[in-house]
Formats: sequence, structure tokens, C-alpha cells
Amino acid sequence: MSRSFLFLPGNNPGSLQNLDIFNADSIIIDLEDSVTFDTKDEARDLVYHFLSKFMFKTPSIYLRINDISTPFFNDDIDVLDSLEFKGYVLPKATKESVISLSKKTDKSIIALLETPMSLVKSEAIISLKQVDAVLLGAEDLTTAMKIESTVSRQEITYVRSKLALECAAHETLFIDTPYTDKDDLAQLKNDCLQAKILGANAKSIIHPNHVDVVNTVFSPTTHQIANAKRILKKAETHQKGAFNLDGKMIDKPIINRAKNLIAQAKKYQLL
Amino acid sequence: MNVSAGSYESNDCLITLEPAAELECIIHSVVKEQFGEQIELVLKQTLAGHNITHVKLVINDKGALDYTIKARLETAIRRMRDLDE
Amino acid sequence: MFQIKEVLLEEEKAKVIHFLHENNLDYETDIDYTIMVYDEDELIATASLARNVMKCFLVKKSYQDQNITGRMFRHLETILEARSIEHFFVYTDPTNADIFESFNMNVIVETMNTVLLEGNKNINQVLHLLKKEYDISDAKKSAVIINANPMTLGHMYLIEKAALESEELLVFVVSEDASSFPFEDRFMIIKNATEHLHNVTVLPTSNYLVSKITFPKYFLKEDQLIKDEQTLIDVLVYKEYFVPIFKINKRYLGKEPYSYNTNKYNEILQSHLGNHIKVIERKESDNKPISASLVRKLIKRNNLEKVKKYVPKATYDYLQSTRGQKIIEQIQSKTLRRH
Repeated sequence: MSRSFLFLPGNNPGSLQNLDIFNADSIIIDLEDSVTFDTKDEARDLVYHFLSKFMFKTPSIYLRINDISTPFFNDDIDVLDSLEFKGYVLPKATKESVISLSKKTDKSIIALLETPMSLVKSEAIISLKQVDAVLLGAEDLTTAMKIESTVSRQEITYVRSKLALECAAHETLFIDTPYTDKDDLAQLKNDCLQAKILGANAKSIIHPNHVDVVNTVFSPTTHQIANAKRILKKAETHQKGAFNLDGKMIDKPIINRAKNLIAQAKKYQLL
Repeated sequence: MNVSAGSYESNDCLITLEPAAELECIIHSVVKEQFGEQIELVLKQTLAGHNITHVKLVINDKGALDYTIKARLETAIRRMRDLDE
Repeated sequence: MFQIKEVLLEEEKAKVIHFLHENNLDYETDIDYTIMVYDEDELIATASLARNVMKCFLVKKSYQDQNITGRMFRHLETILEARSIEHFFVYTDPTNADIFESFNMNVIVETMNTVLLEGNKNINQVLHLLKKEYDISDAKKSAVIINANPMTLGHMYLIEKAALESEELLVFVVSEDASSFPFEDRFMIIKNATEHLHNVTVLPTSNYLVSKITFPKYFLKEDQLIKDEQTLIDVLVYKEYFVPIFKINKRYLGKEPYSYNTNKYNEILQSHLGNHIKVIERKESDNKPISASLVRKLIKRNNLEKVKKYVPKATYDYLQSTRGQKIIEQIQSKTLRRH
């Protein structure tokens, strides 16, 4: 459960060894777009030696490897899979490529959906067991659809809603597309709120200065926390089954959700 | 033929390898005073791990930690071997 | 995130040229590879390669503390590696010298506006090696530096005169292969023509003198006039390295009344080296000064009988050989260039 997923370039020792100072809940070490073709091997070796040397309890670490159509896909997994990290971000994910990856690893998979076809068939991907989250890559998607990105992002309203619904149905985390303007923090906040309204649970980030805004928007609200506390308090006295709180039925799934929310709030030091 | 790996960014280093009659390590570093010996140790251990004895190595270090030096050298070694094949 | 892109389209090149001009820099005509660095959609830096010379570095003021130069340098280094070029050079503003020295480059010479650095080799070592290879003594001696494209009786006269006045004479032949006659052939002709002069040694200039590195403008067409600054690097390399290493105390020049650029070069040499320079009057034939360009014109018109009047036997013999015939064909098939 993370609010913020910050991409860091995989071939840059300066940012790797400082990955815990950015306040992001999760870090995605990137071997794909931020690494040029002729330095793929450098980046892979660097990440290998970095993760062999350092262990992190927080933040959670994911690796964005290269997609299955590249010659780097197998090398990335073969070299890095034995190391200590939470999971993979698989670019240009399809049902087939996620299955290929899941045959090679037991780690968690975040499917990066960024082609029109992957959005059409998103539910088949989200329903796969190892897929713990999906990440919307709106830049590549809109480019492929030949539509312009707008500040209001109304062009991705439908795909946000679609993914939010499907992720909710499969209890999978939905991570929103990154906001690209580095300096416009006010518009970043609007963008986060818009994504949250439509059902996103977290947001990916490409500029470290975006972390605080994203964390704030995707944190549980004080109202939600108070409500969860009340549920858990009442649950203490009702060991079994459902009970009534303020005229509403409270059952096991609701109690579990409240527990998760409180755990999250503790983790984010909101309690 | 030379091969190289790394960059001139701070916290990184650039390593160049060149076939030579014997082992030679040339170290340029912003922190040579304090860490020159340590850098040399990492380089020599890594080379020894690959049984490499006939090479001239030049490192231009911009404050890289050991893992970075090792990683850059491993990449350079693989590139050198790929070139030989 | 910064992105490095190579210049591919004419409009990209125009954009780089405009960017350089805004900062009072020129895009040079011998460039064969250029990169642009973008921050999002903004062009913030550029650098170029002319074969083994990195030049035209520019980073926008507001980005100057972000090691953009290091990234561009690294990028160009990998291009050179892919081209199997080890020995390379950097031309840049003197204020940037520190940055390049931090990448293990060595300063060769510096003028008011320019510094020339080299990587992977050192001029002192290279010249000392050359000195050893040609078994050059430490006695005081004179020097002549010629391209001899091809060698004429004018060159012969200059060498003979200098040899007569000196204990020892070094004849440096321009190594750069940018002339009608290849270096190897020009070198061999001079060696053969000077065989009878026992105090003369013929040797190459190496990369460091009258080359595309130290003197790129020398190889441009005659109609492009050179400026003082552009010859200064070459003059300084000669003065700071060739003179002390080879123990040269006199350099002989042939007077050049008809070539603006050579004349200009000679003037600058004189102004920096004073008495070290001795100018010899141009040898004339039928009241016409003999020059290599005149000889090439005659070859072009296939008038070899007339050529015979202006060149030493070694050059004429060469022109009769199969190798020489091939060059003659090449000259005749091309439109005439200066070199």
C-alpha cells in the first residue's frame, strides 16, 4: 500500500544511493526510458551491485525493466531477480507478457498499461494473480491515440474510470499516470484530486519535488481515520460476526478495510 | 581497442580499459588523498576475480562508492570480452 | 530530465547555429557530428565533433552548474570510441579548461579566446618519441615546414639555402592527408630530392603542426580568409613544443607574395618569433614565382613538359611513375582545389 511511486533513473549512482531521502512510499528504479540503449548494461550492473550492497525497509523498491520485445527483458530478470526488492514494473504490459514474466519470478508485478490495446484488454491483465497493481501510462497512450495532452486531463477521464472500476473489482491497486510539469505544483494538486475522485489509489511521480503533494492527496482523510477508529473500537466488543454501528451494518470486509486504513495512517504518521 | 563504462557525474566514475603488457591502474580522483588506496583495492580485487592481469585501467573518479566502482568495472570487463569475441 | 539528441535535420542544424550565434560562437564548416541537449522542449546546450576534435561547446547560462558539459563530453567520447579514435582534442573557451582537465584532458596551448586540450596522449611524449625515432641530436638547428603539394624547385631552393646556412636542417613535411598528393608520396619525393644534402633530415609534422587540429583553416579554400587568432594556436604549438624539443633556433620561410593566407601565416609567425624567422625570397622562373599551385594547374592542363621546368627531378620521376599517373588522373578529373 503506497501513495507515491517515484521513478529514479537506474544508471545514476547519485540518485540510487539517496533513494530514501525523497519521502516516496515506493521507488521505481528505472532501467527503461531513462536509460539510453547503449548504457542498458551499465545500468543493470549498477543496480545489481547497488541492491547487493544496500537493503531498504522503506521505501519499497520496484524495478522497471525493459519490455518483452527488447533483447534486455530476459537479461534484466536473469541478472536481477535473485536480489532483494519488492517487484517489477512491466512496461507495455499485455496479458501474454505478464504471464511470461510471472513464469520467471515470484515477485509482485505492476503492469504498466500504456498502449490502446492494453487498455481495451485491461481487465484480463488486472485479473492475473501476480498483478498487484496497474500503472496508467497516459503519455504513451495519448501519443498512440494521436490526441493532445491537456492541462485538465479530460482526455484520460474514461481510462482512469475504467481502470478504477476494474481494479476495485479485483482488489488491485490503481496507480495514476505521472504529472509532467515539474514546477506547477498547484496544477499537480488538481491533477491528483481529479485522479482520486475517479478512483485512483496512488500516483506515480517523475519529479522528486512532487512527492509531498501526492502523499498529501492520497493519504486517508482525518474523517476516514476517525470513522475507522470508531469501527475498530466497536469491533473489540463484538468478537464475532456483524454488528450495528450508527444504524449501519458492519461486517468482516468493512472491519478489514478499517484495519488497513489505520495501518496505513500509522505508517504515514498520521496518527 | 579501448572500452569504457560510467560517466563524469558526481558520485560516479568513468573506467577505461586497454590491453597492456602488464597490470597498471591509473587513478584520478577528487578524493584520492583519503580513498586512493581503497579505490585501488576494489579495482584490483575485481580484476583478480576475473583473472585479468594484462590491462591498463584508468579511472576518473567523481566520488563513487565501492559498489559503483565495482559495477562500472564489471561492465567495462564484459564490454572488453564482447569485443574480443 | 535532460535529453541528448543528435542533429539530423537541416532545421536542427539551423537551430544550433542560431543558438551559437546568439552567444557569439560560430558553427564550423568541418563539423561532422553535433548534439543538442534538451530540457523538455528547450535547447540548453550543444557540442560538436570534427573527426577527432570536439568543439563548439555551449551551455546556457542558467544550466552551467549541472555538469551538462560532462554529459556531452561523455557522449562524444563514446562516439569516438565507436569510430576507433583514441587520440582526440578539445577546442573551447579558456574559462572551460578546468572542466576538461577534470576529465583527464591536458592543455596544449591557450590564447586569449581559445584553449586546445588533448586526451589519451601527450604532445611532449609524442614529439620526444618522434625525435628518438628519427635520431635527432640535441645540437642547435634550423627547420623548414612545408606541405610540398607537390615539391617544386621553389621548395628545393628554400631547403638548399637553409641547409647551406645551417649546421643541421630539419624538413618537416605536413602529415595531414588533405592535399592532392598523399603524405606518403610528398614525403618520399622530398627525401629523394634532398638525398645529396647530408645535414638534412626529413620528418613528419605529426598531428600537431599545420594539421586540421592546430590549423583547421589552412585546409579551407583560398577564398576563405583566415583571421590572426586562427593561426595563433599553430604558432604557439610550434614555439612552445617544437622549438625546445627539437632545439630549433631558426625557421626558414619562403616569401609568399601571391597567397593571402600563407602570407598572413608568415606575418604572424614573424610577429611572435621575431629573429627566429628568416624569410627567403621566392625563386622565380621566367620572372614568375614558382609555386605548387602553379604546378597543379599545369598538371590539370596536362602540360607536363612545362611542369618539368618547375620541379626537381624527384617530383618529375614520381609523376612519370604508375603511382604518380594515378594522382595526375585524379587531379585532372576533379575541379581544381587549392590543395
